[in-house]
Amino acid sequence: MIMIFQRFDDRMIGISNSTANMVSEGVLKPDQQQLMLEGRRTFTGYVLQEVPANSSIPGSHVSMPRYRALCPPVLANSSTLSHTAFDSSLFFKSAWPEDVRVKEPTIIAEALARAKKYLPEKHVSSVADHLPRVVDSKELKHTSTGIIRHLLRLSTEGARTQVWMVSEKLQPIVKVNAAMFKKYYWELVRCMCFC
Amino acid sequence: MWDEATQKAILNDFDLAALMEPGSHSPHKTGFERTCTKPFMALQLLEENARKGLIPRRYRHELESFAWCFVWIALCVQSGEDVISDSVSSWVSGSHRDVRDRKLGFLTDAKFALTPDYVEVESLLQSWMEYWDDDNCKIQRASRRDPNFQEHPEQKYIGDFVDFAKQFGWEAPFEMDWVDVKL
Repeated sequence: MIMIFQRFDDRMIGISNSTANMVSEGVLKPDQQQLMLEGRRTFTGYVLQEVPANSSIPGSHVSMPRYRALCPPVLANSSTLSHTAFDSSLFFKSAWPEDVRVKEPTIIAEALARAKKYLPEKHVSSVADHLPRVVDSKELKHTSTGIIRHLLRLSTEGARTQVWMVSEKLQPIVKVNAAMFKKYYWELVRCMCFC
Repeated sequence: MWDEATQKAILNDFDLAALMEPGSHSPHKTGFERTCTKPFMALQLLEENARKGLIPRRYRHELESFAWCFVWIALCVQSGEDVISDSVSSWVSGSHRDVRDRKLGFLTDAKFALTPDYVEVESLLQSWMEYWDDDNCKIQRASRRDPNFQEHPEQKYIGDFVDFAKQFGWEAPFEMDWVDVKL
C-alpha cells in the first residue's frame, strides 16, 4: 500500500475538509480528519459541449460523454474554445460518495417520485419546482476504490466510486434582493417540510 | 440556490442526504463520512455525542439549520454581495466543539450585527435561535431523566417556526399547512 501511495505526487495527498468516524484498534474515534487523495474531492465546473467549430449548440438533447467540465481559469485560457461551445445553462459536478450511500441523482429522483405518490396534487409543485433538474448522471464503476482494495485483499468497507452529474445551473440565493429572499426562503422551508 | 429561468428557489446539494423510510423519524446511518458545514449545523449535532452517532438526526435539526443559514445571510450579505462579518468568520474553522461554543457565545450577544438589508429581522432571528437553544436543553434534560423520552412530533417544530415568523412580521407569503399523507 505504501508503494502505491509513493506513486502519487505529494500535492495529490492532503487533509480533507470532511471528517469521519473511524475505528482504530477497535476504538471508535469520532470526527477524525481524513487523509485522502486530492483528486477525490468533490469538484464542480462549467459545461462545454464539443461541437464542430462552425456549429451552434443543438437543442436540449444531451448525452454525458459529449460534455466536458472545465474550471473557470482553464476555461478562460483554453485553446480548445474554437472547438467547443460553452453551454451556460448547465453545471457539472463530480463527487466520490461512499458506495453504501444512495447517490445524489437517485435521491433527487426519489424525492420527486415520493412527492407525486404521496402528496395531494396541489402540493406536488411545492416539491417538484424546488428540486435541481438533473439532465444526466453517471456512476463510473471502474473508478471504485473498492477494486484496488479487493485486489489487495483488504476490506472494501468505505469504498467510493466517482459520480458525475450534469444539472441545470443555479444562482446563489443571496444574489436576490431581501424582499425576494423572503419568498424564496419560505419556498425552501415548505419544500423541506414535504420532502 | 435559485433558478433564474423558473424564478424558483431550489433545495440543492444532496450529496450526503439519506433516504428515510416513509413514516420514520430519523434516517438509518450509512457510511462513515460525516461531512457537514459547521456554521449551519444544529447546535445539538455539534456535540460530542452527535459525532459518536448517539444523537439521531431529526427533522428539527434540519429546521434549525435553515435558521442558521438565515443568520449567516443576515450577517454577511448586503445588496446581494458578500460582506465580511467578524461574528461568523470563527464558525468556519476549528473543531465541532469550538464552533458550537462560538455559536452559543454569539447567541448571548446583546445585539446581532446584521447588515442593513436584514436588520429588520433581528428580533425574529434572536427569538428563533433562543428557541432552538432552549429546546435542546429541555430535550437533553428530559432524555437524561427518562431514556424512553419521546420528542415532540415534527409538526410542532414547523408550527412554532412559522408562528414565530408571523409574530415578528416575517410570515410566509403562502399557507404553510402540514399535510398528513396516507402511507
